[in-house]
Amino acid sequence: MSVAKKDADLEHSGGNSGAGKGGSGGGAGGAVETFRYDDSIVRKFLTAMLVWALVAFLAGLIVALELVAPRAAQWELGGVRPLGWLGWLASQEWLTFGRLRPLHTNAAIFAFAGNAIFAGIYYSTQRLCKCRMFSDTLSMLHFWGWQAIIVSAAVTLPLGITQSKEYAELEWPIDLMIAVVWVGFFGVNFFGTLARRRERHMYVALWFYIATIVTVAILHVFNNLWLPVGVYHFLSTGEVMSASVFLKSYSLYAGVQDAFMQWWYGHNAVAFFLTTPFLGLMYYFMPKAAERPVYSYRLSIVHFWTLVFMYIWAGPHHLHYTALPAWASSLGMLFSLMLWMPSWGGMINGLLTLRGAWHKVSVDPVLKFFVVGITFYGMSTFEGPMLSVKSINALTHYTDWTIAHVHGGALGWNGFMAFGMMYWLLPRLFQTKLWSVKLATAHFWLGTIGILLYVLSIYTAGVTQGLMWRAFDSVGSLQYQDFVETVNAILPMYWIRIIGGVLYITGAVLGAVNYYKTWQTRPATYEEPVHQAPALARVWVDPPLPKSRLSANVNFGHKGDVFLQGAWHRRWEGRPLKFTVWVIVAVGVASLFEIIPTFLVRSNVPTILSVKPYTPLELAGRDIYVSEGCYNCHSQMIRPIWAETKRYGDYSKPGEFVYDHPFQWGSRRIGPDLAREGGARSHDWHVRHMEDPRQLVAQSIMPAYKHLLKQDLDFRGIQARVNAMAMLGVPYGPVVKQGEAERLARLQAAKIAADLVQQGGYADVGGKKIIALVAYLQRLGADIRQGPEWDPYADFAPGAGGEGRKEARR
Amino acid sequence: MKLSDIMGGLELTVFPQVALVLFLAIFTAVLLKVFGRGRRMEYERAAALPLEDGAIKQGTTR
Ligand code: HEC
Repeated sequence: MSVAKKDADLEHSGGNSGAGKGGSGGGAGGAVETFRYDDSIVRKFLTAMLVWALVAFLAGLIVALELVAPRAAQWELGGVRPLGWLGWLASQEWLTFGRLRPLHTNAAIFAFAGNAIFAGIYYSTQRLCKCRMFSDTLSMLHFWGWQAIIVSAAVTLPLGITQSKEYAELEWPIDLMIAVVWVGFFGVNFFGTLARRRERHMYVALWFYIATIVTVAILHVFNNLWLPVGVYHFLSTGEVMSASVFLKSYSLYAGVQDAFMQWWYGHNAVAFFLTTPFLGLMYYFMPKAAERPVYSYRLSIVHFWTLVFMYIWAGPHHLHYTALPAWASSLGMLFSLMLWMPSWGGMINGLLTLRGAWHKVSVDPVLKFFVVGITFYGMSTFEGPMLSVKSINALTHYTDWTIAHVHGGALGWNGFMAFGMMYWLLPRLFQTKLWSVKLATAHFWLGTIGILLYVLSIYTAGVTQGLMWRAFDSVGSLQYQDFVETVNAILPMYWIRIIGGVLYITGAVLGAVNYYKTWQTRPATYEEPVHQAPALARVWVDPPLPKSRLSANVNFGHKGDVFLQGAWHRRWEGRPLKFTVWVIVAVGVASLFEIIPTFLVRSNVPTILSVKPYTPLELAGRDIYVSEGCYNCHSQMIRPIWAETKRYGDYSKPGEFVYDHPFQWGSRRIGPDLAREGGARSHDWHVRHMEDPRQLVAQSIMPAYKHLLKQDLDFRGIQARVNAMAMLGVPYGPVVKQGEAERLARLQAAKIAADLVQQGGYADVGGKKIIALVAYLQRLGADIRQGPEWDPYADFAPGAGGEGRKEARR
Repeated sequence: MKLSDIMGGLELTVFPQVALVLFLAIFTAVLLKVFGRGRRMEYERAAALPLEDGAIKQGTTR
């Protein structure tokens, strides 16, 4: 700390001596200063990375086991069920797939990859800037703040506290924490360091970091615009609701627009959290490990700008053939295809950095990890554009192919880059030798084989299931009528995935052992080498522009030629502020061009008169659906594809989702689509199915939701939910009157409970959560079968929706 | 007439096409610039930055 402070003073007093102004290019103007790098923060982030890696992988293994567990538990061998204990996994409230899968993805992305990024950025930024981090206090706040966010995610997600937007599930208080830690601590610390740097030129890795920090902040804010239900209710009525209502929020956007924002975010989170920062790390650590400069610095410039300009457009490829306007999805496809080129440029650039040093790969585990990691980057960025082609996407969307794709990226690219970086950093951070190169090499091989087993089996599963969904028999009906048949066909692949996963985790455990053993041999006190570099001059004199080489006497021509010589970019490279502004412009313009029309062009979401708001009870049921994370296994989006309308019913229309805050289209069909579930089954069927799906569908792999039959529904809290929806523009009319929502919900619950008894079902679930969930399931996709004047309250309180119903929406 | 009606009435679907052209143009410009007649030396020095590691080297820190 004191060192950093002294540096600051030094810079202050000595910065203007201007000795070198003009001279050696105008950069090295100040007095020579001494400084030390802060490596203890890097050690912290690296340790956290490893700990969270193990947690994330373990959570992944558990969710993978959960998909095979129900069937495995039924497996009999001579009258005994050797794997019966696995059934436990699929029936624990806090461990159900729908709640745990978001924990796995968040842990992998934000905890494992996040801490890896921070470790790498804190190490390389200081060295590339020849400057200690701006503030040791901010570094610490960043570190502990981020770990606090991860812990609160690990607590809230299993409790079912979620916004249900993939990779943005965390509820609003945590969203606020993320904003503060990311922008206030990390952002300020990073840009502060740039401002104090002693190296004029910003190396390409730093640009990637800038793009990461700026864009992730923008994405996070715009995808997380919400209305906190309990807070709004308190402010408008003074009434305090339960904790779960307090923590609940609704997305400001609904339906198509919410989906669009979500995947604009979701895709760019991949781009700017899992791609650009890791590319920055690649451009720093690869040359370090190979001990030679990057293959082509020019290529890296092109790589950077094309990624920044293009990635932001590609989001809609997650929504092909959905209720999204066709132009938007074609645009997404086009930009995704274009992305292939710069991505491979980057891959080639990374790999060719090893030119003349390939022999080192056979002895150095760091290079092994990097080479395979970068190769996976190339594979994923080839596969991504391919999957974004509409006709391919028609087959692969909703299948495991997507899962294979992301694991190629996450385990191969992010995982291997992170571990490679770890092995490179260990001896340097702990100022000793890596404990065992052999063990690191074993980690590498276990990991590689693990990934291959994982992705190959899951590709196979994806293609198999995709083909089964669309298979017709000779008379034109679906060959596999029963959805569950298509699930059981791929269970063997799920077992292979588990083996692959176990291998990968074993590798990571070896990494942890190696880490620990290396740490044990650290010196009693770390040496902190003192570095020296001249401060930058306060006033920066640009090197003179190159002279035009044209002889003709046209001023414009001269200017153009000067421009073409590229000095402008070199000047930018010295200017973080301008640079950052341009990144924001690139990202912002692309986003606006893409998003504004989706929000404003009326014809994108044609009104359907018979689509009405959910009743209060259905709304409460919907929130249970969200909270249980059913969207992790069920889509609510029937694409206009023959095999799909045949299986699920009429395709989904944009106008059907106008009251869906947030949307629930889902992205993977582990279970069947539920968009037209309303009316398809009896209440009794649903209750028994939720209690234990195996009672009705012997081969089902859906978790049992017994707790929903036991836990009381919070009727009182429903008013807050309805009022918040009304605030967002859902026409609830007189239902917003204090107490009205609860009254109606109780009436409807009583009606459903009575029907249930009539159907021969349970008599004691009238006040339980399951009733609300059934009410919601029975409403799904049913509206378009009604006439325009129908009354959702007709069954239990005719006319209760009042006039509000008629004026419908907008 | 509300603002949203006016905005809704604009035919904004040309936006994406305009932007596509714009971005392709920028892409081409970056390509031309970088692979055009840049300063080879400059790029070489920049590329070597990670290998310096902060040790003092007079004259390299411009
Ligand atoms: C692990 C993935 C998984 C999760 C999580 C899951 N389901 Fe399912 N679901 C399935 C599978 C597989 C089937 C098909 C087999 C069956 O009918 O049980 C299914 C079937 C269904 C069906 C029957 C559809 C029909 O008409 O045949 C309904 C309704 C349903 N799920 C509702 C839900 C709800 C509500 C939730 C959340 C509380 C949920 N599911 C969570 C996997 C899942």
